[in-house]
Amino acid sequence: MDQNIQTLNACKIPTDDVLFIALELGEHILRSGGEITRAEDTITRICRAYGATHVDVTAIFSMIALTVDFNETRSTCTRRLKSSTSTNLNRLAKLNELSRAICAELPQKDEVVEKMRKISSASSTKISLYILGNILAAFGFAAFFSDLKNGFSGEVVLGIAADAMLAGLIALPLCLILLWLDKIQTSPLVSKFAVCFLGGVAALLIERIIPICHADIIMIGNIMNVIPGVAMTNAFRDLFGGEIMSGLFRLCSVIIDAIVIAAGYAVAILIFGGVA
Amino acid sequence: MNEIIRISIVLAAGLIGSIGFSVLFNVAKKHFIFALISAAISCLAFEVAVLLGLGLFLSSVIGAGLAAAYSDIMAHKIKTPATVMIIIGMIPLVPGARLYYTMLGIVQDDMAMFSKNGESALLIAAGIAVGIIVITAISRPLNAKLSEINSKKQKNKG
Repeated sequence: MDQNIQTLNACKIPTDDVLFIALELGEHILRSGGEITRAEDTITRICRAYGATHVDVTAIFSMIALTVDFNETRSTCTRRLKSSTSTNLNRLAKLNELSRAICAELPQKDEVVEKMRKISSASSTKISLYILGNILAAFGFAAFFSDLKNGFSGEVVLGIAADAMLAGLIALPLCLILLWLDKIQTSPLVSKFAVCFLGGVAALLIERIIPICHADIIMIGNIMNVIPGVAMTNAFRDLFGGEIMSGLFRLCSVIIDAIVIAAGYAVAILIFGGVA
Repeated sequence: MNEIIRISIVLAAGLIGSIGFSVLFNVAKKHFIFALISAAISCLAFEVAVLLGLGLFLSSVIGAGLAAAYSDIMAHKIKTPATVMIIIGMIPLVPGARLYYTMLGIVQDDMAMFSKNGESALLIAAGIAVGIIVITAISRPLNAKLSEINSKKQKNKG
């Protein structure tokens, strides 16, 4: 206890700044795709490093609530989070490094803000890489899942290669459209629906023109790019890990996403009168 | 022999897809190879387990569990969050095709297709979660114990 007070006095940081630093790190971890427990853990460690005697934090999908005791004075604050998250594992790794450094060096607020700004600009995903990733993922998973449909035998290999390449080819305009819709701030559900519908139409048209192709394989390759697979896994992890609130939030958003994606492809399939 | 060829093609395709997602999720260059190994472990373990007739649920528990165990161990060695490797490792297990056929079942009014694929998709998703949670449940207390021992050692040295 005495030692803690000394640390706080030694680095002379106002309580508000400590709360700000901890919440800033927590928010960015959540928004880069980190788990709830990781964010809570980081906030607790940082507050304790700055000399808090008691830390109680809870985070859900769109909010962090934090209560900290410094020298018998209790501060409570909440922070509202933007619910949109984009998984950025490089940023997550860098934030993790930063939180270790903060605990070891106890820097001032301005220093942390400057470092956070550097991390944000250094770890943003380049558009060229985003497009490349989409194409590779669609190509790989179209081939991956065609095994489920008909196995890999000699005569279908040509069809599979064609399917995978076309899936990759369609992924290019689809991810450009998604980026554009994102830029003009269309609601995420609407853009997902639009992209899935267009993907379905493109795949079914290709099947009509090139009969050796399978529209369903091409669609599955492109579904993988929008499917909330990571979110679904995280939802179950939260639920089983005791984070019922955020687990339920995530699960609901996953189900809604899945319905919208399915609806996009379903409308395309209904228009074309089924998959061959 | 045929199965070996089939699994290697599936593995290669799964890895290409996982490379795509690693790029998409902006995995740092120095972590790239570790994340891909995690994907290879989960994909291979799942396929082999299915081949051995263990069923979809158990196979995905094994696939996710092994990849999560690898991620936890490597996280300490290369000092990076295990999540980086776990997320990429789970990508080849995500039941994308089964979810698609579930949807197709509804659209084409084919209840057999809907229920069969919907059930497998849910089983796999739950299996992935269980696999990760089992490993987390083991590794958390283990890590706490290890760091306690380490700090004691350092204190003794000091």
